[in-house]
Amino acid sequence: MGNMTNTESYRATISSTLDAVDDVSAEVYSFIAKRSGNELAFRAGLLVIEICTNIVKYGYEKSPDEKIWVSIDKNNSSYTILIEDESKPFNPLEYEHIDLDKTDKFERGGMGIFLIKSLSKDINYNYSEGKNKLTITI
Amino acid sequence: MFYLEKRDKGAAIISSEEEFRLTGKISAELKEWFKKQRLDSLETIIFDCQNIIFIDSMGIASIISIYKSITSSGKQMLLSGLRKEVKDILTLLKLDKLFVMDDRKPEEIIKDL
Repeated sequence: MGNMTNTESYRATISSTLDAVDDVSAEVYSFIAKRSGNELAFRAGLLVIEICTNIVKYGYEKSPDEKIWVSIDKNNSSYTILIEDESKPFNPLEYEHIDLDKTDKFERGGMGIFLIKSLSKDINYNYSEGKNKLTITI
Repeated sequence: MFYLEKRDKGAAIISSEEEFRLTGKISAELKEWFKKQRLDSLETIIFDCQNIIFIDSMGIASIISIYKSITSSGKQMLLSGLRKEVKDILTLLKLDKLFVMDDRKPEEIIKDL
């Protein structure tokens, strides 16, 4: 699925399905685990799966023929993750996440947005050239 | 993929023989599998999590769903053997306040019931 263009970069173009999202998350985990250990790999894999799942469910509304682009670049000890899609403009950072004191309501959703915000050192959204572009540093 | 093994003292262990990622499809399978289990005579269910190598929000939601189902019928549920990364995510979500997380092996927990 993914392409490791050189030892410090990873590129993948995936279809808009939850199975493909799970596969790319596992590949990202493996790519980073080999270079920086399991803890950072877990964080990156989780960010990728949460963001791409939102795109599949709410951006493309489960239309499997659409595409998502995932890029990872290593910069010394940190990584830049870029996730792009061509669905309607959707900035996940504008959405409210869960209230951590109301765990009984977690099943209704909102955990993903909380995790995306919490696990990123830096996160930026923009919409340009017909694409949602989410850039994350971990 | 999942097993419910009944033990002494009204306890049972939920486990998997293989390592797995508790994400989308597997989360749905776990919830469906759990609905078919008979827990009538049980008091304590230990979810042996040592083989969960990765978890996402859907996986966490499936554990919450199972936890609610078990505790609403007056039984207790414990999570054992959580890997550090999985435990850290549950703690980040303050789910350590909801779940009982025990680092011991299920057999050791049952011995002390």
